[in-house]
Formats: sequence, C-alpha cells, structure tokens
Amino acid sequence: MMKFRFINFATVFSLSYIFILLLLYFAIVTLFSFNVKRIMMNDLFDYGTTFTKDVAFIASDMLISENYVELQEFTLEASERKNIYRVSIADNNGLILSDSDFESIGYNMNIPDVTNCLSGDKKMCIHVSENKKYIYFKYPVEVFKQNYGYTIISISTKSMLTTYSETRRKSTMTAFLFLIVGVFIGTYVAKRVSAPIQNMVFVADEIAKGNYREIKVISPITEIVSLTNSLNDMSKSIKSREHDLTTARSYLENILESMPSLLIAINNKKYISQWNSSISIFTGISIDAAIGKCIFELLPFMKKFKNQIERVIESAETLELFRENINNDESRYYNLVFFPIIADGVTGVGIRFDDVTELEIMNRQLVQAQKMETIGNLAGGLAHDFNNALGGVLGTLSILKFRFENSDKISEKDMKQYIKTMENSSLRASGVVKQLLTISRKHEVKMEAFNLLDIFRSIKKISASTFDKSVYIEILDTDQECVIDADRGQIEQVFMNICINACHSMTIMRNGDKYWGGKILIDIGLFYADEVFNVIHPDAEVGNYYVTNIRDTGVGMNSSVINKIFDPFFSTKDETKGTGLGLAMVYNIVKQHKGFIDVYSEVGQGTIFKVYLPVSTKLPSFTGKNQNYSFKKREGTVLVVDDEEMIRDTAQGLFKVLGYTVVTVENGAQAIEYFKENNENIDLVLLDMVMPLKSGRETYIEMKEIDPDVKVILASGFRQDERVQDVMNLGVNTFLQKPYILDSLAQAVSLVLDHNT
Amino acid sequence: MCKSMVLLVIFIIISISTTSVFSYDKVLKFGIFPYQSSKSLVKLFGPIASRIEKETEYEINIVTAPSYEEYMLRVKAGDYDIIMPCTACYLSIKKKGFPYEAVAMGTPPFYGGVIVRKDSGISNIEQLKGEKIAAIGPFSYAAYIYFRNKVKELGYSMKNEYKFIFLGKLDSVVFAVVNRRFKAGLIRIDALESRVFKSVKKDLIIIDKSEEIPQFPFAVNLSLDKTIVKSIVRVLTNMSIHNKQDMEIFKRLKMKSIVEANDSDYDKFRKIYKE
Repeated sequence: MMKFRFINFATVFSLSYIFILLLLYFAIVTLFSFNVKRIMMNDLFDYGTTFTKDVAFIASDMLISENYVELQEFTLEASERKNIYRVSIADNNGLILSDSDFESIGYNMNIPDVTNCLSGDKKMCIHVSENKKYIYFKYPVEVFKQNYGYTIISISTKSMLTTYSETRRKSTMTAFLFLIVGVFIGTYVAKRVSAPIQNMVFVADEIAKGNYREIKVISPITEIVSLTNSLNDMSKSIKSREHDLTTARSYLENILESMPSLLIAINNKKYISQWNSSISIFTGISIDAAIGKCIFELLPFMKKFKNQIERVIESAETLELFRENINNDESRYYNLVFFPIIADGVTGVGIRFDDVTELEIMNRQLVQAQKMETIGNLAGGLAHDFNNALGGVLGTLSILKFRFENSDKISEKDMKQYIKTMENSSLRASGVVKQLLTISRKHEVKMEAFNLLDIFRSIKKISASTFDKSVYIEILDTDQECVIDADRGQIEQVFMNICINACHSMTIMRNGDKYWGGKILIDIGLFYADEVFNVIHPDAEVGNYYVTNIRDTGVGMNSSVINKIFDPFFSTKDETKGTGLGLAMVYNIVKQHKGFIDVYSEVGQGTIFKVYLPVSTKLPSFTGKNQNYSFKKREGTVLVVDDEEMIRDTAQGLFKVLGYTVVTVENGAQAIEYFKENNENIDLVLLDMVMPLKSGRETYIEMKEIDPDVKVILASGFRQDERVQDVMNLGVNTFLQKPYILDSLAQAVSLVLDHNT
Repeated sequence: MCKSMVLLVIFIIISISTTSVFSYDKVLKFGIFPYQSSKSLVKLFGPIASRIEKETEYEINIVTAPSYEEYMLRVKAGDYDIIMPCTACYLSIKKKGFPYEAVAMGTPPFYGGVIVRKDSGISNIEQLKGEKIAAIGPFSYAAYIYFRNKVKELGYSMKNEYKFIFLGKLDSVVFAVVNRRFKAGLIRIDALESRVFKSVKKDLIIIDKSEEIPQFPFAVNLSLDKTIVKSIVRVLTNMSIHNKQDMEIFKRLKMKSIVEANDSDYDKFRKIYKE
C-alpha cells in the first residue's frame, strides 16, 4: 500500500518553483529558438524574394536589349552578394542565358523541385531543398506583360543555420543562467515565505495541544499577515470557547454529579457512557469501573428493562415507569425515566432512577388521610345503618329476654323467626363494617386486571347506605367485562371520591335550595384514542381506553372552578366538609395509571366526569368469590387460638358442627405450650392475628419451628391488608375475615385441607 | 584580360544559343532602335506588338540593343524580323544594303530642335558658341544631324565652336538642360509634349527648329513571308485615331495615323539629310 510522506511547505514551494522554472526554461528556449528560426527563415525568404525581384528587374533591360555580356557580368556580381549561392537567368524556354556557374550557360535550367513551390506570391516560387541547405527563388522577367525569361536565385542557408545554432546556444546558456539564479532566488524566497508559515504551523500545533499562544510573524506578504491575524483571532476564539465549554461541561457535570437521581447513559450497543456519583454510591461501582461496560452485565437487574431500552432506541421517545423495584430491593420504589440521547445520528439512552420511596410513603399517608376524610363523609350513614342492624339484634334479644323472664313459651316458629331476624341484622352490621374496612384499608399498590364494573357495584352498595337518601345512583350495566390493569383500591378511591363529590353537589352544596338530591348516572364505554384525539389530550396514547362517565345533576361549576378542581387543597365546600385533596388524589391516581380525565360542567345543570383508563388485555384475576366449597362432615382436632372468649366459643361451636374436636386457648403462649406437646394430633390451627402478649405472627413463627407442616388459618377483624399479608407471607395457609360464619369457615377449611393451599 | 576573354566566349555562346532560340517558328523579333530606355520601348510598342500577334498568330518579341552600333550590327546581321529604326538609321540601312524595307510609317512628320532654359538668355544658335550642348547621338537627325547641317550652312565650325556631348537618350538631354548641366539640348521637339516633361516644359524654350522629318519607318526583313508582311501592314494601317485604344497608342508614339510606305517616301528627306 502506498505510504504518503509529508513534506514541508518550503520544499513543496521550492520544488514547484523549480519545476515551473524548468517548464518556463524549456518553453522559453523552445519558443525563442522556434521564433528565431522562423524570423531568420522569413528574413531569408524576404531577402531572397526582394533580391530575386531586383535581379529580374535589372536583368529585364539587358534581356530586352539582348545585352548578354552585361547580363553575365551582372549575374556574376549578383552571385557575390551575401548568402547568394547561385544566380541563373533563363529565357522563356528554360535555356540558361546567364549563370554564376559558367558551365550551366546554354543548357536547360535543371533545378530540382522548383515547381514545388513552398510559398510566395503568384509569380514568385520559393522552394527549399530536401537537405535544407538551399532555398530557391524563381521569378519571371516580365516587362509590360512581355515575358523575357526567368530569374532563379539559390540562397544558402548555411550562414543562417550557423547563426541560428549560435543564437540558440547562447539563448540556452542565458536561460540556464537565469534558471540557476531563479532556483537560488526561489529557494531563498521559499525559506523567507515558509518561515512564518512554519511558525504558524508550530503555533497551530500548540493550539491543537491546547497551548494557546499568540503568533508574532513579520512578513511583507499581506496574506500571511492576514492569516496570522486570523490564526490569532481563531486561537483566542477557541480558547474562549474552550473555556466556555469547559465551564459549561463542568457545570453540567456538577449538575449531573450533584443530582440525587441515579443517572446512567448508554449507547446504542448498551455500553455505559455516563455514570454519576449517585449511581456509584448506590451500586458501589466506581465511574472508572462502569464506563464502557455493558449495562446488563454490570447491573443484572436492568435486564428486566431491556425491552423498554430497546423501545426508546427505536422510537427515540421518552418512557417513564413508576414505582419500580430495582436491585432486588422491594422495600424501595423508583420512578424510572428512559430518555433518548441522540448524538451524531446515533440514539443512546439516558436512564434516570428517582428514589420515590419516601414520596410513596407520604403519598400513601396522604391517600390514607384522604380515605379517612372519605370515611368521615360516610360515617354518618354507616353509623345509621349499623345502628339499624344493631337495633334488629338488640330488639329481638330484648323480646327473647322478656319472654324468657316472663316464662312465655316460645314456639319453634317464633324462635326461627327471631334467629332469622338477628342473623340478618348481624349480617347487615357485618356488611356495614366490611364496607368501612374496604374504604379505610391500607394496602400495597398491586396492579392487577379486574372488571371496572365490580368497582361500581361495590360503590353502589356503599353509597346506598352512606349517601343521602335523596341521591339515587344508577349504573348502566353492560354484559361485557371492562377489564383494566390497575390497583383496585386506588381506582375504587378515584370513583368513590367522584361519586361523593357528585352527591355533595346535589345535597349539601345546594345552599338552601328547595330542591335537594338528584341522580348519579354511571356508564362505561370503549373508546379508541386516535392521533386527532391525542392533539387535544397530549397525555393520551393511541389505543383503546375504557371511558367511565359519571354524570350528576348537581350545582355544577363555572370554567374558572373547573380549571382548579384538581389543584391540591382547592375546595368549594365548607372547610368542615372538604380538605381539597380528593380530586387532586383522583388526578394523580388516574395519571399514574396512564389515564386522564375530562370534566364538563355547567352551573345549575350538573357535571360530567369522564375518566379514561387503558384497556387491559389480561384476564381478570380470580377473586375467590362465588366458589362452592364442599360443606362436608370432617374429623380431627382443631386448635382455636383467640383472646376473645365469645369468638373462641363461636368457633368451637362452628368446628363441632363441621365434626371436629376443638381445643381452645386464649393466647399465643398457651397455644405454643399446647402445640409443643400435641402438634402431632393437631390437624388445623385457627389463629387470631391480634392478641395481647404474643401476636398471631409470633405464635405462627414458633409453631412453624415446631412443625413446619402446620396448617394454619389466620383470622382477623382487619381487612386483608399489608399487616395480614406480612403474616401470610410467612406461610400461613389462608386468611379468614372476621366475623365469620359456618359457611365462610367451611370454605376456609376446605381451601386448606382439600386444596392444600 | 582573362575576364574579358571569358565574357567574349560567353557572348558567343549566347549569341549562338539565342539564334537557335529565335529561330523557332511562330516568334517574330521586333527590333526597335534604342532611342529610349528598353522598358520604355516595350511599353510604347507592346500594344502594337499585341495587335500583330493577334493578326498573325506569331509571338512578337520586342527587343532593342545596347547601342546604335550594336543595333545596326544586328540589323546588318538580319537578326530582327521587324524593325523600327530611326529615320536617319533607315537611310543608312538602305544605303548599306541591309535586307530590310519600309512597309509603313507614322504621320505627321516631326521636327528636331534646340532647347534652352528660359532664364538662360539664349535666343539663337550663335549664342551657343563655346557652350556645351547635349545631343542624343551622332546618328540622330532631329537631335544632332540637323543642327550640324545648319551650323555648316551658317559657316561656323562645328568642331571648334560647338561642344556636343551625346547622352544617348532623349530624357537625359531634356533633364540635363533643365538642371543647367548644359546650356542647350538637341531633341525631337514633340517629345516635350510627353507627360514626363510636363513639369519642366515651362522652364524651357525652343530657339531653333529643323525641317520636317518623316516618322520612323516600320520595316521588315526581306526574307519574311509576304503574307505575314501584309498582315503586319494591315494591322498598322488599320489603326485609327477614332479608336480609343489606338488613340492612346498614337498619343504615346506622337503620331496621328500609320500609313503604308516604301523607300520612296523617304527620298525627300534623304536629300535634306545630306549624309
């Protein structure tokens, strides 16, 4: 392969200059020689032509007068002129009458190829001999159209060629002398010219190395001075820009380094190109160890985001993930932002991890607080319902007590009726408590696929007992399941809040209006968000949504209120009736579920909330409801652990109905003590979760240590929230919600023993 | 001496050669007495030669001689087919029996005369005694012989009292007088009408004039075919002053017409000539 050698400017200039000089030298010498020869030839031609014509003119007199002696004398005299080789004069028939060569007189003219004229006028014929030694000129001797013969002059070119050769030799020598002088001058000039350029090259190299300095060049050449000034300006400009760039880079690096976020940048090959201090601290991997490594090899937990990274590289669009666990740490939550980094047409990805654990906790607390607010709103109705239920029980019991005290015989029919009434009342009270627990429960965010209609059915139940009776809720039911992938509790909170607001707008917010109450109409439909829709709703993505319309006939809102309803702590209600957190929470929850909300309202006419939530392609999760557990007679021993005597007695009775032998203890310590000695005889343990001294959790752990295969049903008055889940995670077989009845107890037993959960 | 010998040999060779050359058929040599420069003679007689060429289909080669003597030698040798000698020359040719005879001549006759500068103060021949006088040649009647005869008639000694210098050509004589090289000149006086002398004519006066002199004859070699001679005569005599081209020719030759002639037409002049 050809290898280039770099040569300096002076050499290039000198070589070019010498090359041009050589070209000029050869061109000038050649041109000069050619022109000299041409001029000399022309001069010779002119001389020969003039001389021949003169001879012809002079000879004409002698020919007319037939004075041949004088003609011959003239011929001899003419032949002695410079460069004249021969003079001949012939008559019209070519017979030589006079000739400088005596021996030719009287013979016919015999000059080779004279007829082959080279140039001349109509009469003059010029011919050059083949050996170039002679030029022949032939011209008629003519007087007033009377032709008396021809004059032929032969001119020798020897003298001319000698002169030409000498001239050429001298010109070549002179040109060579100039060439030598020119080379010296060129070399000198090249050094003079290249010196400042080499200086500039040196300084340019220094600039390239980052050593900015000013060039001082003294040169008479304007361009070099201009170039020097430009280079100095450029140096200053680069220095200034580099300073700015360094400052900006340092500033940006400081920003990146001081960012609490964990920040990684990778190229399109997934190799790490940026690694800030936070991620170094988080991972314990230094920046030097991280840069250039494949992210999936360095951080294996990132593999689960591989698809997201690929998607960002392909689409060059930002992608956000919320509340993700990373690095196998489920105790902390991170919001992840994958954003494209496009440089030189190549898309890399920036990944930002924001630890939102604290925010999440605060958010949950806020949500819980808001729930409590909701409960406060609903408490009156719930208390009323609960009292009604209690009324049914207490009333019936008072009847029974009265009739026993008065020895009034109670028939079987009446007894069944009283039992039925008390059962219904108790169940109703239990239902009221369940609803309260549903609203107030704390729980982990759990994304699952479920049918939206289930939410509204639940809300309808709650609202029936908690809302003002003047408010009627109607759900336009549909046969089709509307499955979304979301946190059920949060979505329930969203719609509960909207419905409470709707209820308030038709009741307490009417401010003395005669008319009180109204109707809440809920319907769900499928909606396709296209590109046009996205223009109006930038948050929306192209795809299918379930849109839930919640219409009320309340007081409505003007546009200025509508613009603020999702602001935290904004409320149009009395301070005692609202904190202004409800719709802010609604907005956040919906947004976190990649949904969005439209609100349309007119003062005095009512309000429509349209809640869009993305359609899920998953199947709804199994809830365990509506299953038919086998209700069959069993045998074996059950250990019932509960601090409440009433509960212990009830459970004992229920298990006996099912066929079991029942051992009851009142706390965890007793239970462990008994279990140590009799665990082989215990088929099942019904364990209360909340007990004094030793909780159900501690009791279970110890039992598990005694017998790892122990079958335990955990019972609690709490909903299955995180506390319950915590114990369940230890290996408890199933959870039983208090108060339980024979049916729910039988289902739980069946689940543990028959389905071996 | 050696060079002269060589030239003589060459001359002989050329003479032989040219003789052979001009012995070609279809070429007629027209020898004109050298009374003017050779080129002037070619210019003067070229048109007539062209006419003869057309009529006879012979090429006419106009030639002259370097001198009177040479001309007469060639005439004597019969070198020319057609000649136009001076009038005095013709009388000499006839007297010496050279083989030529006149066939045509121009009209009207002309005169010789003496010219002097107007400012010279000379008005008669007597005043020219002792002065240098330019003449064309001893053979010229108009430009020498007439004057010699007149001086004799007047009783003067031509030899002692008049100094003649022969310049050979008429124009040489005229300009020699104008330039005061000579007090007087002898010329054919109608020559002064020529355009050449238009500018100097006003400075000259004619102080004496000869008798009438017939024009130069057109003579032919006696050996020339008679048919050709007739053709030549026909060409010459058919020229008319009414023809524009002929008029130009006549004007140059100082003639008004050409008529057929013979030796007898020169008898009257022969008496005057007194050779």
